[in-house]
Amino acid sequence: MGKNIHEVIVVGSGAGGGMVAHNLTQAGVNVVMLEAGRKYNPRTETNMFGLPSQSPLRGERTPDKQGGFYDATIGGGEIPGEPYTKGDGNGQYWWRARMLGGRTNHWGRKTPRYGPDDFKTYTNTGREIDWPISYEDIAPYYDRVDALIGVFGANETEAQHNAPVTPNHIRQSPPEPKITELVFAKACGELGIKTRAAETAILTKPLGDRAACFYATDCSRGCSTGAGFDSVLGFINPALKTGRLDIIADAMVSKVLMDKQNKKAIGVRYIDKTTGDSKDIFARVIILAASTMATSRILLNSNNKKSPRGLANSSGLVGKYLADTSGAFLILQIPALENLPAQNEDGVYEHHLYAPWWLHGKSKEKAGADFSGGYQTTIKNHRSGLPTMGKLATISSLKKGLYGKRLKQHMRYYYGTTAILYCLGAVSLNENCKLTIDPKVKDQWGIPVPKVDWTSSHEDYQRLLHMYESLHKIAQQMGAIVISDPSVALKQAGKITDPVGAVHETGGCRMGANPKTSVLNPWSQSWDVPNLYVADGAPFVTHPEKNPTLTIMALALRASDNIIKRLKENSL
Amino acid sequence: MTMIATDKPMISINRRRVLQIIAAGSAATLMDGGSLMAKSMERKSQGYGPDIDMNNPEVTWDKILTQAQLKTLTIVGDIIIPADETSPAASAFNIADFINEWVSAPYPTQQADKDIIVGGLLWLDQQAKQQQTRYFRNLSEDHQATIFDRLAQSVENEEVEVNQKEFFERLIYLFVGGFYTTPEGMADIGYIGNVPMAKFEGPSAEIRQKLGV
Repeated sequence: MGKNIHEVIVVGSGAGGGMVAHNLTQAGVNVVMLEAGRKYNPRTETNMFGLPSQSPLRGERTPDKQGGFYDATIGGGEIPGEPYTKGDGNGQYWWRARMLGGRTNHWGRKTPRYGPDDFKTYTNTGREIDWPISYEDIAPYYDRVDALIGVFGANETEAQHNAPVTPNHIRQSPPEPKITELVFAKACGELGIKTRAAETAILTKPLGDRAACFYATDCSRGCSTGAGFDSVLGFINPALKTGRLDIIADAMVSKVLMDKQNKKAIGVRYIDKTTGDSKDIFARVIILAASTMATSRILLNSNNKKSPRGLANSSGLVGKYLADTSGAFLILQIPALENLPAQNEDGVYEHHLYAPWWLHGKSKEKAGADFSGGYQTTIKNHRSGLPTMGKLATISSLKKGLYGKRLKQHMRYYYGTTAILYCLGAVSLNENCKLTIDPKVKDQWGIPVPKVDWTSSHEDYQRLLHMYESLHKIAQQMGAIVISDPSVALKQAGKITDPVGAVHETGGCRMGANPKTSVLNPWSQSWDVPNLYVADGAPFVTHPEKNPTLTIMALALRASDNIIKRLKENSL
Repeated sequence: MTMIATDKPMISINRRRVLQIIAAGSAATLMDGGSLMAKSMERKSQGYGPDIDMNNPEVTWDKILTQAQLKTLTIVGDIIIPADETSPAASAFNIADFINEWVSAPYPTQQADKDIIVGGLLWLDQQAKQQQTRYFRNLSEDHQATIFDRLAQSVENEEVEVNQKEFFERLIYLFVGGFYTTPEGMADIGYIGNVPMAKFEGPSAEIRQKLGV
């Protein structure tokens, strides 16, 4: 037949795809990476210092640039020609970055570790289910990822129950807290809530050819100096240097191809977006790291006569139990910050300091919290980062009917005194959050699109109410005035009516110890198709309050170690 | 990325009401609107698209406001943001021209604002009629200020039609947003970031002491 059979195909180039490509190529394995978007170079394509006044519409969000003009993302929640359909419930916003490096080009770079309890929720609380792995299993991979990508964070002495930190010999020192964070931390301390430096993949010391952060500009624009970790500079460029990585960009994968016996994957089919042609490419091992929802979509679209429900789906669980970090916020005006000299609160853009969930390990009664998981809490002054029209409007609209010299005095006086106080929370395992294939709708490439049902649970609603209660307590302790409070509408509705929030989706191909109740084994390897692995957010079992990207990378590293071992053993 | 809206304004838009205001205008005041329509037939109205050269930002659409509309907008801008001892008036940085860019953009938010702003400018001319003048822009500064102050007062006292309230609030949003995102506007309110530094020191000891942190 003369067809070229590669060693490994990885679909996707973000946190998971980049990680496996890096690890495999370092170990001498040849990898072909398929990316649905174009090639992208953060070194040359970002405009880190561009001012709002130098861009169209002061850089505000538009349907073309849904994260704002300067945001690195090519794509977003709505992509022309690539729709998805909404089924039941409050919905989900499906953020997609069509570019090399994927969503790591604009992420918040927050890297909290999942804690021991997060992997054993059922054992500890009788709720949800356990992961097939423990913190001890994943901790060495967290250490390796932290060392590789470079993170700052708190001292080891500040580790808390279920909120571990990076070992001191690996972590970099954190920057000083911003002034508003200190006011927040003081109030938290008075309420018995501990705060610490926020684990973050931003360099405070140089690492390889990546510079230390210079404490200015918005990380979501991308980082041309490499201080903020992204997959291109951190994983893909070093992988390219080995000479063992080939990248095919503009390759929209539609399905995984199987052998005649339907036992082994032999390759993938993709649309070459530059020509519209359908092409097949072959390899010994296939790794899907297309992003949580795209990976489930590919597997379901890979159905055939022998696997009518979709590939790797004997459990029927592909696309099921999706989750996304929930969020709550208050907008505050903080009188304590009035009449102070101007402050530079840019820092590393996102927060330097936060309060990990403070009730882990407490009994339900003691915590007053009838839900699994918790939430993390932090604050950001509107003066952190360049002024935007929205942030300025928050200040101008503090008083109605204001104009003229009084308006100018008002802007001067209140600028720097307003902030967003917010939580990012867990969500509970939920059978009503799932992805199926819409039988009627195809995208512009002729690929059937996902239909997303997403009905947030009552437990998630209860957790949100608890967040708001805490936010109000902290705000009050800070002596702050609440100027915007979405909980009023939330309580009126009595349930969650909007997409939950953070675009940190996980699940859909969960790992487990039993092939009947999971899609993947504990190594992120398909139970049904042994040479098929998943290396994005899809293998996640539950969704704690911690940002998921570090765990995506740690699981991807672990999966690729397993692939290296099995390729050596010739057992794939 | 966190999709919680950290910087979205809390202002709603009612397009239909604003269209009603335009319809209620006299034939004379509709002339501006008429020329707007004619121009919009031939203008470039493409957005900048999803994949742009970030290092060469470019407005890809033509501006649609007439000279007369721009003049009125400039006058109103200097009432909203006049010169004071710290910074000049809105016209010093051509904020009316930025608003022209804004209302000409082919995106839904901006299209809704176009209706509000164009409708509101017609409404100002209607008010001028009560002063026996055809256009707001031809009134004396005192009369212009009086009309605008009456509008502001009615917004402050919440005794205002939804249409006029939206016009006022969108004007403030656009002039404040336009002005304080210029380098001089940012300096005025004390934004001192966006500069590289070797180390982030946090607040000074003096400020920490003052705040007890």
